[in-house]
Amino acid sequence: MLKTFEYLQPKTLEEALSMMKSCKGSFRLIAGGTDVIVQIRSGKTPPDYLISLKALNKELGILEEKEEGLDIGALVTHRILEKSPTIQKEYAALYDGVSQVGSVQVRNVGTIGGNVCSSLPSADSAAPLLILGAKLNIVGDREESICIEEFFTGPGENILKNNQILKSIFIPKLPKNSNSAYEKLGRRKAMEIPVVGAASYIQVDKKTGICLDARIALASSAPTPIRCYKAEQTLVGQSAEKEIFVKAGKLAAQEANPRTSFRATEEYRRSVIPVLVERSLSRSLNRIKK
Amino acid sequence: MKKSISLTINGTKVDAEVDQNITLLSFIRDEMGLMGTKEGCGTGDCGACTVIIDGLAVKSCIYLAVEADGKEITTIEGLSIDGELHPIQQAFVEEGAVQCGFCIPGTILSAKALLDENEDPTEEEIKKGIAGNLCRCTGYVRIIKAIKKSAKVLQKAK
Ligand SMILES: Cc1cc2nc3c(=O)[nH]c(=O)nc-3n(C[C@H](O)[C@H](O)[C@H](O)COP(=O)(O)OP(=O)(O)OC[C@H]3O[C@@H](n4cnc5c(N)ncnc54)[C@H](O)[C@@H]3O)c2cc1C
Ligand code: FES
Ligand code: FES
Repeated sequence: MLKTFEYLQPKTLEEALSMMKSCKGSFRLIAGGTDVIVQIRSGKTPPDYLISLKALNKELGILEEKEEGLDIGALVTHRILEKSPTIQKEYAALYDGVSQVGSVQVRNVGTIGGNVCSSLPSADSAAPLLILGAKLNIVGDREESICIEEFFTGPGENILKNNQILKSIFIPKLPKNSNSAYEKLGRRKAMEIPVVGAASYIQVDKKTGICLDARIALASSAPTPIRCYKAEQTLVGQSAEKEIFVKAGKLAAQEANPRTSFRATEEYRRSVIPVLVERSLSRSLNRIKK
Repeated sequence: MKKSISLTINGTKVDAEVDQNITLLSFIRDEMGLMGTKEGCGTGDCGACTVIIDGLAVKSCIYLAVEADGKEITTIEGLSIDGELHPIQQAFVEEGAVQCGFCIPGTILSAKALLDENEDPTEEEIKKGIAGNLCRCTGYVRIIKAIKKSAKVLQKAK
């Protein structure tokens, strides 16, 4: 038996928000619970209340393709994303990320909202969302939309206040002749959070092969998932090929601020970042050519 | 405080009052007495506790019993029909894919969820499908062989 808590299950988003406001005692939201339950089971003191979002599928569980882009409800599971042909084809970096979270059993239950809100530097959806220009739709006293770059504030920390819920994530449609990829390095192939993850997005001029736009983001390389702006800038205006990708990788490693943990040392992470960034950019480029 | 839930386990409707802080694994074992579902790590890593919820393989050690309300659950006990082993179970026996057996109920349920969705998986797809089920003694070669074999048997039976 786990340490005691009371389990509340609001039926609408409005009810959830008012429960959060009137809650007497500590509480925590729970979506799939693959992070929350593991933490409680490993002895972390549970809150007085768990407020479950599970019954809010109508409001938070929708995956919708729109003309401007893709709306992903916070409760959409990794498994649903992984199986979506739109994500496989058009948002390939996100496919690479979510299809490598844990195992099938974890992806069947774990949600993208939970992955983002756990806000670990290692979150496999975070770097892909950063390079895809994702916007987070947050509800509380009012509804607001913020760039994902503004969301993460530290390991396991984000800007959400005690009365706010992540409602959905919006990813704009990618322009022509662009594509994306995410490379995850783990100590084994499955059931492993990344030692380093590198996501990239590039847009090229098909005639000249010149890189028109680029974004690079890293997981497990700093206290939060990060963008590597200098590495991105070095690509723009250059011919998209291996040489410049290697240079971008080196710059990305300089922008990173990795730490030593039981998974890998700081030095190791710093030395594999260039390799992963280059691989990721090459894959993005190959995907454009296809 | 207890909450009432009603669910279906292996085809039988069950109404129960459960503590809010027990896992589905503990409900299945301690309250339903179905001991085929195992607890290995208790933290979502090993897959010994895998059950099928509404067609999806799930780790029951990190799933709350209260959240199973209204769901349809299959445990390893639900696979055999009238004492006859399910084709996946039969193939595991024939291929010698079972040593101590602790991981096997979970692995078989992951295989079932996979084959229900994809009747002719590639070796790579099988590996992905059971990546969350750790086996410490048989190793995976015979397990993968058994799943391939059962896929063929199940396809023929259609
Ligand atoms: C065995 C195992 C392997 C794993 N492997 C990986 C991996 O390879 N890569 C990886 O990135 N992760 C991995 N994880 C971590 C986890 O599965 C993911 O982070 C998952 O996406 C979390 O989603 P959830 O719905 O289960 O979150 P929950 O546990 O329900 O919630 C996580 C946190 O987010 C908050 N929250 C959830 N939804 C919202 C919302 N809509 N608004 C505001 N706050 C919210 C909760 O309060 C909580 O703090 C693994 C976990 C396990 C158990
Ligand atoms: S006991 Fe559930 S995954 Fe190990
Ligand atoms: S048969 Fe012993 S752990 Fe798999």
